[in-house]
Amino acid sequence: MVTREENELLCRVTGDAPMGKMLRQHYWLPAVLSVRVRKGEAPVRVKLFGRNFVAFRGGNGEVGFLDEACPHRGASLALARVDDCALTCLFHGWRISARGEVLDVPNEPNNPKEFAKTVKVKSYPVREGAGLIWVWLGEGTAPPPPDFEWMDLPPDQVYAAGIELNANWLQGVEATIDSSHVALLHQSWTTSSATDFAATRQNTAVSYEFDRKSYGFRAAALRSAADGSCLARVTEFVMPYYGLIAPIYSGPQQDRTVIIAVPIDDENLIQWYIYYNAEKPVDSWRRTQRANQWPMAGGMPGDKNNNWGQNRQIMDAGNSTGFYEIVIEDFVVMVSMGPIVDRSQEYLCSADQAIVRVRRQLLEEVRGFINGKPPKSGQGEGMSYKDIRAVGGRLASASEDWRQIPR
Amino acid sequence: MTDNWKHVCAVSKLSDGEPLGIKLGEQRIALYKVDDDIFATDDVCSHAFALLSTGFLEAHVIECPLHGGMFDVRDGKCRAGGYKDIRAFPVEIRDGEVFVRMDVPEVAS
Repeated sequence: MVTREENELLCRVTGDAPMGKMLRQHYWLPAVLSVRVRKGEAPVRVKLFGRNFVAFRGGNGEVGFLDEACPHRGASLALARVDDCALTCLFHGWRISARGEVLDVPNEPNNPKEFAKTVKVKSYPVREGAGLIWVWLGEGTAPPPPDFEWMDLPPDQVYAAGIELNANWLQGVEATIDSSHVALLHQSWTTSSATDFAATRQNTAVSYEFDRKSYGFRAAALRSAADGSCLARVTEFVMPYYGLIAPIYSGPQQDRTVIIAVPIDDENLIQWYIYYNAEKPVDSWRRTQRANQWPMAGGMPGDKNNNWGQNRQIMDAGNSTGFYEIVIEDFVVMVSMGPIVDRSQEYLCSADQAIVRVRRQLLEEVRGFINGKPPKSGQGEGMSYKDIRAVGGRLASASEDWRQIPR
Repeated sequence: MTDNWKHVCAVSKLSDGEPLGIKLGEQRIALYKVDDDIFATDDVCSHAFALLSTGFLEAHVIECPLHGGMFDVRDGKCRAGGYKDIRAFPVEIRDGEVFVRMDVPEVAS
């Protein structure tokens, strides 16, 4: 439970909100699918933190990311002509490069070349990886992009999908760190007990242990079985919006899932999914269902008025939620809380400790930021993410150490 | 006279600022190390059964992770939340081992 004031501090990311400023200044984020930004084709509108941008790809393959509004008089650069690697605004032909230089001001009679140099343009550094275009929206010198183990995998080992949802970004983050819903919300998908994912049914009561890290924390969700063995699923929370989920099976060479909740504005988010395998090609059957889909899984099947397409007939037949897709179950409960859930009204139980810790860390960092201290978990020199990996395993007993589970 | 002092664990098991939850038979207690002093209280929060050993320790106050209840580890008094006080148990260190006296009466409702 947090106070109303704390809730606002956590949720608000647009305008001058301190959380928005901190996130933009200290963390890169995935902005748009690479496949949506095609060579020489229309620039794609991207909205993040309540601000409007365009992403485009020049004939040379290079990606640019600029404010949507032309620096001249604000016409939309989504209309612009695209070349190598610049946008030419339709209105007066001002040509703006991906690096933020104004190359041509054809309607200026006096000293156009000198005039062009005085125009201030915001351009944002980009980095492609895992099928996504990542961007840094801060001011000054960008920190290095995060070096997660999936960033440079070849296309057959990684792909991304995403969906826009009418919910605040923090609801998206909390969805990834909460292990206790797995055997309950997703119970229709846990009937085969061979997988570790399905084994979460052995005990719906989860106990947690945490290890604080420089990048966030590891949350071990522990479930004891009747025979004394213990299932451990260790989620990695990486500040500020990443949840690395334990794989469905334990052991090496697993397909893994990463969920990243990125703010579009105060009431909408993009829930990104990155699926990857560090050692071999990812499962191709699932990939054909999901890869590069926008929106993922065909989008939300309805809205509040039809309960987002919930089918009560299949529930009568034994389906536990009335939804056809596991990710839709996550999206629906998140959106059903309302666009910004009022956390001062909630009543938590012991399984919610991971969520409690996410909020504490975000509050601690943003309060420090307000007082002039950069966040300790901020992306900067020395912060490395390449060894972070969510793991899972079956321990012989609860007293065996989950920290020993190999990566 | 019955010796109500129970051995709990080695002092070395405790780290500054990190509560430790221990079960003594059926009884759950939480141990805290604040600077060089050791304190012990009930582990179960008087509000809704959360374990205080999973909470957050700042100086002498333990904050329950769920609903914000705060208790002073020296005397068990509830400092925030308006919940019933918890029991604080006397602690003795004998040869680097923590002993706790368990015959503290239940807090009156």
